[in-house]
Amino acid sequence: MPPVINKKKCISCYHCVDICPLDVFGRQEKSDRPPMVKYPEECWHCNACVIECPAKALRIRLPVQDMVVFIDAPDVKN
Amino acid sequence: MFRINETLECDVFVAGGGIAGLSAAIAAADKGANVIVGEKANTIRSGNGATGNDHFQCYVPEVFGTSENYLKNLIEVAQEMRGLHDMDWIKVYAEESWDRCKEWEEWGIPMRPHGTWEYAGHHAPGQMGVHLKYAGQTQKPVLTKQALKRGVKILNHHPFVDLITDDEGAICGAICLDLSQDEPGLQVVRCKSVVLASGRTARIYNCMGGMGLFNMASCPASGGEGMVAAYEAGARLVNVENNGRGMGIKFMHRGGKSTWVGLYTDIEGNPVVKYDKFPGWEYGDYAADNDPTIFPEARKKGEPLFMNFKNNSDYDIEFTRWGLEHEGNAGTLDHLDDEGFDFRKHMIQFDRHLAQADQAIQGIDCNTKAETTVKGLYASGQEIGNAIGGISFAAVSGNIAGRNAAEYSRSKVNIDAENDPKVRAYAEHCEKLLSGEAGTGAPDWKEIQQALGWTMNEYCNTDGTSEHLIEVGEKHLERIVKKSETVHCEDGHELMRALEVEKMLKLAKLVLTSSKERRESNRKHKRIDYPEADHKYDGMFMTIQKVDGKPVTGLRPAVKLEEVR
Repeated sequence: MPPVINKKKCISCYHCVDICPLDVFGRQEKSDRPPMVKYPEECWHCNACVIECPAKALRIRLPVQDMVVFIDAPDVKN
Repeated sequence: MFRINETLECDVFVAGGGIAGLSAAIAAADKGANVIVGEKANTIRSGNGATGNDHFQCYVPEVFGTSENYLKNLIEVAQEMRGLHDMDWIKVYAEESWDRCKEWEEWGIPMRPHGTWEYAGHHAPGQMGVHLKYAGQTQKPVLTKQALKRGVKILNHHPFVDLITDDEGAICGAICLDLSQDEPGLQVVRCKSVVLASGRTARIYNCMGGMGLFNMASCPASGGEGMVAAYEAGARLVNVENNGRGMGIKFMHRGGKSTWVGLYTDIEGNPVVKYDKFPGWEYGDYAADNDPTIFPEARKKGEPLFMNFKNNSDYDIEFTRWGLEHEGNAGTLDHLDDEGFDFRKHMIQFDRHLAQADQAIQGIDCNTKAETTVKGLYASGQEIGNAIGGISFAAVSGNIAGRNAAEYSRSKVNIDAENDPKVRAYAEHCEKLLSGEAGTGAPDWKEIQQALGWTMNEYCNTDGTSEHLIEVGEKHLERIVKKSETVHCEDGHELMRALEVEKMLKLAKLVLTSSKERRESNRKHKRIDYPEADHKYDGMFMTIQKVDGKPVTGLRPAVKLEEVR
């Protein structure tokens, strides 16, 4: 699930629901509850929700399939 | 029955509120037009520039002297300029990019965040850079504010779905879905002209990694709505048979490879290119811009390539981190930090992206006034098929489209577009898509999306296609279209996606038709059955247009640099 909501920090303002470019979030029936991550497969990992969240309650977790490949770096040879 | 809202009215309707759309809306409003923007999400964070981007190609007089000098360097240096451009567009782009840059700075977008005009990345030591490094993270909120200040009406959560034309074939309206309420509806807008700014879709191809859906360099929100609506309204499309693959981090497909200012090396630390002067933050390693085949060529030898920061300064690393924050790549940076990546100790594998989903087809043919071949219809940004230039091109072409659409609209009157039979047909169609019951075996939009993507990946890919492969692809596509008619949608969100996929199926058909007709191979179009270049295509662009209900291809001369100098 790419966006992860910290439910302790979330103030249920639903700003993320409004601004996500891919409409990943969904509303709950009771509006005092944190929003749902309703369509996680459609996340573009653009961080719009992370930047916009007034409570800093959001982070993006990249799916394991997208994990960056890195290894120890040797010195650059001249 | 599916809800149809009360009709709205304006002079200029802008389909899409990304960089191009907001630039068009601002320019049209400055010319006195009454403007409505139909936006799929929310303009403060939507489109390719949602959370920033890596550079703004633009002319600055105190750096380049004349715009001709900037143009000269642009053509020499920028990888984008090796694409398919009418050079009259590129000339106008070079000239007007400074006006847009000045405006953006005045409105509060940091165009020289470190105090001076910094042209960094995408060029080699000894070359004059053309990519202005700016801080784009706030660009969408800033442009939204400027549009609202001018009285532009922004309809957020109103994805554009189609155009309405009058008896003469001129534009008289636009149709949007209204997803701003729990129950979806349709919104018709009477207008005198339309600026298409809904982006270019990459989703007719499947991506890999991720969930197999939206792991793409370009914003995957675009479903090619503008291109297909333009085609259906009679506009000419151009260069749709071309495709390519992006480069960057392995698996995670994002743009902005040049923000990473280390060196490309192999696993033992041997650089791909040996520079006399270390490139560092100012240049980045130009090797991949200069020759995108470095990745497949290394791969043929069994060699992975890496972005290696071992010889970089602390400032280079700081500059890379800062750049990632401002180009919409903060998510990748957070991921690297979470995974314990250390710029000093590790190197990241870079490669050609796995599918062509990053650099798909081009778009609508238009002149340097952004006029398409349909009266009252203007194209902008990535929707333009005969020139490309990233964010700054979106700003320049959006501005041009907006001011010309406003001018054109002055002599026009609004008519009752809402009574066009198309509106009723759309309402019935949406009703049908929502009416089925879940769990009855009807496919959802994702099945159709992936079936389309695999078909295109398999039968019309960058490694090459052929008459017979396309023939099979076309037949299979017809069956997918039939299946798409049985899709069930649970809610407004799924309805939006299902309508996108319907458009993409139409677009895929045009790509297959153009690809079949172009019987030759070149850098952006590979035919296994015609491996050589055919000189009849030299200096020509392939077009496709609807004639008697069918797609018909043609050739037209591209505008050459010599003609505009």
